[in-house]
Parts: sequence; C-alpha cells; structure tokens
Amino acid sequence: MRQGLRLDLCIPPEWARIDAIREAVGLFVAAVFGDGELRESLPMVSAELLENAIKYGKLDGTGVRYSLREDDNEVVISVSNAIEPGAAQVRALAAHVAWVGSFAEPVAAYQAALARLYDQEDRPEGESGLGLVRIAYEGGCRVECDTTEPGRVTLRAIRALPELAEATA
Amino acid sequence: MTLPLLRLDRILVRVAVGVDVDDRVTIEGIMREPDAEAWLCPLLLQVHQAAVERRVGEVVLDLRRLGYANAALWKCLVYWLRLMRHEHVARYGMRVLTKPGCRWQRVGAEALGKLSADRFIVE
Repeated sequence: MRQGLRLDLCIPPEWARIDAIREAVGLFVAAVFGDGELRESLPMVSAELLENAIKYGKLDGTGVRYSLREDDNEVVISVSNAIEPGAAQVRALAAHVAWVGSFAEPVAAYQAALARLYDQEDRPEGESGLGLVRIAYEGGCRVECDTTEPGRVTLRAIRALPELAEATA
Repeated sequence: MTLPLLRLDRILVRVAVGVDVDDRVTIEGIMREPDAEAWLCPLLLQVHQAAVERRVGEVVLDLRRLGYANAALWKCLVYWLRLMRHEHVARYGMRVLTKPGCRWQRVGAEALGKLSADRFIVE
C-alpha cells in the first residue's frame, strides 16, 4: 500500500530554482512510478509551468506556489503566482489555454503553435506559447487557467495516470 | 568546404559547431536559460550563413547529449528552419540525431520535421 505522491512548495521567483524543482520532481516520480514516461514528462511540465510563472508573474513577495498531487488516478501539478489586477498578460494566458484546449488532439495544438512561429518573419521574441502546448502534447496533460483567487493566477496541468504497472513500464 | 569551428559555452549548456565532426552542431548539457533566443539564434544564423556560403550539403544537429531543454530550444530551431526556407541559392538539409529512448527529443524533432519535411531527417 502506498500513499499518493504529494509535494507543496513556495519558492522565490528566481529562475535558478526551476531546475532544482525539475530534478527533484523527477526523483520523486521515479521513486513512486519508476523510470517510465512519467519520469520524463512530469518534471518537464513542472519546469514549463514555473518558467511561465516566474517570467510573467508580479514580484510582490508572496512567491510562486508549486503543488504536485496524485489523486483519483490523476496527477495535478499547480503553479500559482501573483498578478497585477486586470493584467493583459493574464487575459492572454487564459486565451492561450483555451486555444490549446480547443484542439481535438494536443498534437494538433503543438503543430499549430510551431507553424505559427514558422510563419513569423522576425527572430522569435516574447511569448511563443510553446511551453503550454508542450505541456499538453509532450506532457499528456489537460491545462486549466484559474483566476478565481484575487490577485493570483493558477495554471493546472492534469495528467491521467495509467495503472501503476503501465506507468512503470 | 565545411562549417567553421564555433563554440559557445553557457552555464549549463555548450554548443559546438564542427568541433568533433565536420558540419555537425552539437548541443549538450541542460538548456534552461530564460533568454536562450538572445544567444542561440545569432549562432544559428552564423551557422546558416556559413552553410550557404560554403555550399554545405547537410548540417547534422546532434542532441544526444542534451539532458533537458525548455521550449526555447524548439523556438530557436523553428527560427533556423525559417532561415532555411528563405534560402534559394544553396539548399542544405538538416539531420537531427536524438538520444535513443528520449521521448521529448524525438517528439519535438519529429514535429519540427513536419514544417520542412523535404529537408529534415530525424534519427
């Protein structure tokens, strides 16, 4: 009998912290699920969500909250950061999450995001949205954007868990 | 003629052009910097221009020793493919070497290949 994987952290919004968490998540996942595909995907999902929060969040001293929970045959990774009230960035983020979710298959969202970049004329600058489509496609996650907590935005990546035997294969 | 020797060392990632093998761009380490476009795109532009000038037939991109990369890597590689798309004088191909069993490399490279299927091979 094992308990569900659970990790809750609050970190300063510093880029250097991301890789430490990515590596730690990889070790936790390997300990619980073995070295299967989850070992590769959940650390990547964690890192991409944290990058997003640190790049675009408001620096207000409350830090970036990270949570990984295994519950009811799924893993939920949540990252929450402070935002400026009415920030255009948050509306753009919510719209992008909705855009990713509008595709029947995540591979189509991934390919569409790459094609959009490919059709640009200039060198890539600013937000490409590749991180979120990567979470959906490579990470196999459904992504949600939650702005119900005043002054914060939370991105959730939800990944259905295969049976343990499959996850460790 | 082959690509010139180039080497770029960042904190956790190293990019080498033509160092071990002619016409090979090797990216190794962990690529997770916030501003990868600012340093990697100019290097890829340099590689592209040299490949065109020297009429290189194929550039090999070796990712096999790259442990992890954030989305910025794929963004930079799309930029490289765009440079190739606009080149009509000397058309070179790209062959990407991925680490066997590494799903993120394989999935990312194959998706890139769909943008430029006639000049892009994933191994």
